[in-house]
Amino acid sequence: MNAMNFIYAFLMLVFVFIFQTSLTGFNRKVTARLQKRYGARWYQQFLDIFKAMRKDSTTHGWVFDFGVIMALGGIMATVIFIPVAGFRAFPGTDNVFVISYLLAVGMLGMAMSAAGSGNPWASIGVGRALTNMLAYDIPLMIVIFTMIFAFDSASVGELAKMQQGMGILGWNAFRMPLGGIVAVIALMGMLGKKPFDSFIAPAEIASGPMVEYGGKHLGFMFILHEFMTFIEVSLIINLFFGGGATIWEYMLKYAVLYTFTNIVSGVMPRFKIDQAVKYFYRVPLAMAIIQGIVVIFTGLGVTIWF
Amino acid sequence: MMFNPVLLIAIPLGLAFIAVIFKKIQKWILALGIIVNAVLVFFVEKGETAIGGFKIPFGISLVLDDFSAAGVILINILALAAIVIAFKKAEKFAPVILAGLAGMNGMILTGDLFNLFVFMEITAISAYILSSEGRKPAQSFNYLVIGSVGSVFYLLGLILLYNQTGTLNMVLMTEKTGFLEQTVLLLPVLLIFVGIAVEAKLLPMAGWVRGVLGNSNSYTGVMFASVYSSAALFVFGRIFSQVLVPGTTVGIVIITIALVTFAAGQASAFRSKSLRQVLLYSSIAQSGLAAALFATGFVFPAVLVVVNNAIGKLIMFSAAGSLEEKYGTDDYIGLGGAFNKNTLTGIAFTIAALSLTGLPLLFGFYAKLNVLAAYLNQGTFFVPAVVLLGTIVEGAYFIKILIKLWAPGKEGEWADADQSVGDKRIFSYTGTIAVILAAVLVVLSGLLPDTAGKLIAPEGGLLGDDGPAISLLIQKGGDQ
Amino acid sequence: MNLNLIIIITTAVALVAYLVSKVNDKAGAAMTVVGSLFALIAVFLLRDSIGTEITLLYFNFNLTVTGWYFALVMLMAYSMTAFFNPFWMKKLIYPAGYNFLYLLSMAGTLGVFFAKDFITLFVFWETVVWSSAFIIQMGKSRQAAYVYYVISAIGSMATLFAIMFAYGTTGTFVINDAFGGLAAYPGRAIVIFVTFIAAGMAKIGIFPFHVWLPFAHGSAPHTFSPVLSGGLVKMGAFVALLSVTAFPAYKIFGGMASFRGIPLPIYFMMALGAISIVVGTLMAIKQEDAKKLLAYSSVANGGYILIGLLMLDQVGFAGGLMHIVNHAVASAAAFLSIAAVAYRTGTTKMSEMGGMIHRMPITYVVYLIAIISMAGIPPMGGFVSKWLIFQGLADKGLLFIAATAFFGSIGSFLYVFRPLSAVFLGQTFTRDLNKKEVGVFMLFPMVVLTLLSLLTGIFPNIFLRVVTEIQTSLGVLPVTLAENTIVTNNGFLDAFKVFIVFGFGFAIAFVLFIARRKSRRVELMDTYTSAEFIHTRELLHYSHSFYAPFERLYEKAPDTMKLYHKAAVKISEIGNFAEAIFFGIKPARTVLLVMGTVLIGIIAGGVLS
Repeated sequence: MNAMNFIYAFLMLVFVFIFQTSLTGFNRKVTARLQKRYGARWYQQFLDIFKAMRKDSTTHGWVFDFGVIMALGGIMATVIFIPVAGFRAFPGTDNVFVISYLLAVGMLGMAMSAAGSGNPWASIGVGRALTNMLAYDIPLMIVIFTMIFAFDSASVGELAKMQQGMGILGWNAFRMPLGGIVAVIALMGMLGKKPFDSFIAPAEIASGPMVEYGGKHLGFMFILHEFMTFIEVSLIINLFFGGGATIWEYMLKYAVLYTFTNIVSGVMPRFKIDQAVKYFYRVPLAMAIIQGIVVIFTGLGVTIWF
Repeated sequence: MMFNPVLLIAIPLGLAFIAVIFKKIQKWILALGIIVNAVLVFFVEKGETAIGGFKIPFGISLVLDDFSAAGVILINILALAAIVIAFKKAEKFAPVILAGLAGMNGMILTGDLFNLFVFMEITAISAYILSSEGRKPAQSFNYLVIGSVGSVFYLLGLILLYNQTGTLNMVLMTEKTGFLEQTVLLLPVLLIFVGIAVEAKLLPMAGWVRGVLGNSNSYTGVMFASVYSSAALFVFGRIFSQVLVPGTTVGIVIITIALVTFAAGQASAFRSKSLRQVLLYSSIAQSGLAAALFATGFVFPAVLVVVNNAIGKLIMFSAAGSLEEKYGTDDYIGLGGAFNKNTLTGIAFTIAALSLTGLPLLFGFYAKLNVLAAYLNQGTFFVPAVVLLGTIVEGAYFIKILIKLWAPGKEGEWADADQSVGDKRIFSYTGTIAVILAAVLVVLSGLLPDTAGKLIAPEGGLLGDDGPAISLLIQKGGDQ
Repeated sequence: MNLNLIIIITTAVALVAYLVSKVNDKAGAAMTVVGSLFALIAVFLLRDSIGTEITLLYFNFNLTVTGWYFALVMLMAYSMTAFFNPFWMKKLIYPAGYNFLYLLSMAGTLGVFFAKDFITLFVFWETVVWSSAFIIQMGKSRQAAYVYYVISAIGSMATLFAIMFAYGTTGTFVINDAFGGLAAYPGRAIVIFVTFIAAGMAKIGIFPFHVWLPFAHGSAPHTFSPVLSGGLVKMGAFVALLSVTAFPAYKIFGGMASFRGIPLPIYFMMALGAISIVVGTLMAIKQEDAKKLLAYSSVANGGYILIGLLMLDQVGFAGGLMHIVNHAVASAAAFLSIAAVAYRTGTTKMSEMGGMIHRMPITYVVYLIAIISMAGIPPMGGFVSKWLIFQGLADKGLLFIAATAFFGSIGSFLYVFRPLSAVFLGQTFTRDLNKKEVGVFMLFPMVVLTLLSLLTGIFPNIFLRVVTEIQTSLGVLPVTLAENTIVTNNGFLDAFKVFIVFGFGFAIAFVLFIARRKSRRVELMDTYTSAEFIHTRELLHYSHSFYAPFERLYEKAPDTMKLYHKAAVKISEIGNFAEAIFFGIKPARTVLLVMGTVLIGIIAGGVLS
């Protein structure tokens, strides 16, 4: 570890912020077009974030502030660990478990500060968010577990590299098709896109976890959301869609996947939280287990099957 | 200077008659008799002693070997402890108690089967009279009837044996029955078994126990559960491990009855709500276990079980009787927190209960290890499994009692001394000391099992069994 | 200073504590602190005597590095919790007895971990059982002590059977020899394996023996629950460890049917551990009482430890051993912080408290770090051990067990967050507005445990080096360590780097935060309430039925406790039956029974001969 690593890490954060926020803005336009509107400008999201950061805010105590800082800090650390097209700020730290659990730091920090605000709507929202996590994470982890077993590696970068150079059919999404489907569904759960967005539930509870945030706190939460989206989509890209041999390939795949999930969710209604749990524990869980059995006991999927 | 063992019988018997004559100083005569016996028991001659100048086997003989030595020491010391704890209750029955003591010593010492019958009758009569103390005539009558039936059966069996073998001496009987076939022996052995089973508390003859022991006080409870019971079991052991060793067929019948007794006793204890009832069913269960061990030929473990049970029940029955007297109720749920101000008694009671369950660092554990080792060395798994299952049940009900008596309080709230039933002292000063000494004995023999084993069986086995081989093994951690 | 002296001195201090407590109970409690700290330091210094053997009365001890490791974990739990003892004396019905039994049970655990032969193991094990049973009864529930003892007895009697059976087969009590000699008797070996590990399972609280845990840990005196959860369940883990290492389970069962390389008997135990994880997690999510919740979390974590230990491989086994340390520290810290809150508020029911962070910030931080470790989030220690277990499972391809392990891991976020939010965050109740933080004497152990959690997370290799020693001494391939990294087949982990990067991210976020304008501080009741006017703090606090939608999904699940009730009822029925038949007062019936018995005896004898 030397200073270069830290500089790379910082540059990575800046790149991710710019890329993801632009993509979000672009997707706002896509959603709008689905709804037969024009939509906001592609850089609207940047404007929103900077406006929020400039405004005054209120705070309910040190936990409120500390939780927000911890959440963003943890998420930024996780972003630094994501390998992008073979580039890693800190070599050797892209273990898939580290990444998925550091995501939880973000969730925990946000939960802490939300509950520390004293507003019960926030606590309800957090409870739902955690339940949601329990729902989508299990099938996803089972599929990831299968992959680790099959390829003898838990490093995200390596798993990405292993899928390259064999054409489209070398992607895990096609080698382990059931797993690929589960992954994309779980991704939508992770991102909090409809039908799994009841924990934000904009029209249901006054404002869910974000109810007490204003000013720079709200700005932090927006940034947090962008980074979290990046981590989640990157994970799926790297694990199931072959990562990217070059940065442009990566960005292209990323944009396509993210826009795809956006379009799908644009036409969906919303599940209640217990419906979401029940949903995930039926078909996706069954698919993940079947995929696991097939790979572990028959070895299909480890090599290209035709 | 060694004395003739017949003195152990003669002195109490003689003093019993004197006590009838001199009613005013009855209690001192009682004390004298028991103390003299307790001291004398350590200074008697070992070996066979002929009575009345007749040569053995024509006359009656008294046999004092390691086995009967353990027996007489046990009952005389226990009788002493019993009157120390509850002298006031005992003084009215002085002649009866002395006669009973004489009878019991005779039962264990005698070497003649008919003489055994005589002493059993003496003991039984004293027991019937003692049971009347509970003021429940129906129960005493029940006991009387069952006891008489038992005696008749015993006599019948003995007559049949005498017819077959021509002798009543135990040693000769052992030889002669060796030549008889099992089918011939079946009936007499069963009849004799029934006779002894009454006192030894084996089902189906144990019907009297609930009524008699359930209404006992702190003296009679101890006498029945510790002294009379141990004497009967030692007799059982003498007969079925040495004299009439059962072959496979009879053996299976006897062992089955004994094990059923064990299981039924534990189950009945588990459901009982009354403290004395729990203890009496536990005694029945322990008797069943000891009987099964004797019938299999594992004498040393059986003696350990008997000793453990006797000392434990001494402490527990005296406490139970005293609690019933002080608080008017026997229901242990209603006696919550009784040990609150009686810490020493409580500790002694706890040690006794845990020893009966067989918890380590106490004598009962050593007994249990010997029992399990004896069976598992032989390769039988069924009996040890039954024993261990019974132990779980036993532990459950004893712990329930202990928890109730130590820590009163509503569920959901901290244990609160204010909820205890009262703070009356359970025993007098001397009683508490006696009970503590008994508990200390249990602990010491648990910490030094090797010494305890050597004290009981100085030459290794008893009546020819393997004996405390396991204690040496424990000493060295099983490292041979 | 050798082990004999330590045990004797500890027992002596126990007796002294009893006598001193009769005079002044706080002084007696102080003696427990002294006694346990003494034992901790003395055993730590025994490091150099590892490998020697020693005898006390008829007990034989063998100072292994495994035993040393376990003993230190246990003594850490005991000594840190002891600091809380003086403050709870007035709540206890028998303060002198409590102090005595506290130290006596501690001495018992030392004997268990260093036992060379089975008799020593069993004697000390039972001593711990009954001394802790008598402490538990002083708490909130007598039934808890009863259930604890009975289930413990089921396990102990099974183990006693196994021990005596092994003795009968091999003729020795020495642990390694007796178990080693069973290789020649595979049939018996299975029976002995299952019955022996029973005591360990009952103690860890593995399904179906888990019912006592929430009862006992939840209702025990507040100062004993951390010991129960952080310490005593690890005794069960020790037995589980013995049953796969001293007992050459993989060798003996090697020829049997196996699932992905794991022999079926062992896989069966692992499956029970997996079920415990699920049951523990689901039940913990439902709880309304903070201590019961943490008790169920101990059930779940016990499952992890069992799975890790039973894998007996390079990585998973190390994970199991490390999780023992992590869970002990985290669980003890969590229980202690709840005890501190209970000291100030008098309750552990989560719906009766709120917003305690504003009154007790340090306790809050202790609890926070403890749950971060329990949930397995980096950079705390719990993550490292869970990571090792996951890698081990992935290496072997144990799909179903891994599924439950993940479920437990994610589920733990749910239940650890709940006390955080219900007790510490949210609105402060009116009654608690003036409460203060607990004193230094109580803060000290909590802070020590927190620092330990951090240490195991940032520099896990300090502990893993001892783990590799244990692995080597047991004949298992040790996990590969390199400076700060842990290397496995599937990847490697550099915990220190993770921590540094986490710090870096935190620093950037912090700078960004303070670079902006300072926020305006508002009161806690001043929140967005959709134009409602709310004046009651208690009504604005969300704590009851926190995960209601999720809980509804498994409301109707069966309760294992009912099974035990049914068994007890059956035994009572047998007793009733026996009593009715044999113990009536009708002499005529008795005579009839006797004649019948003799008749049956004769017929049976005739048939058998």
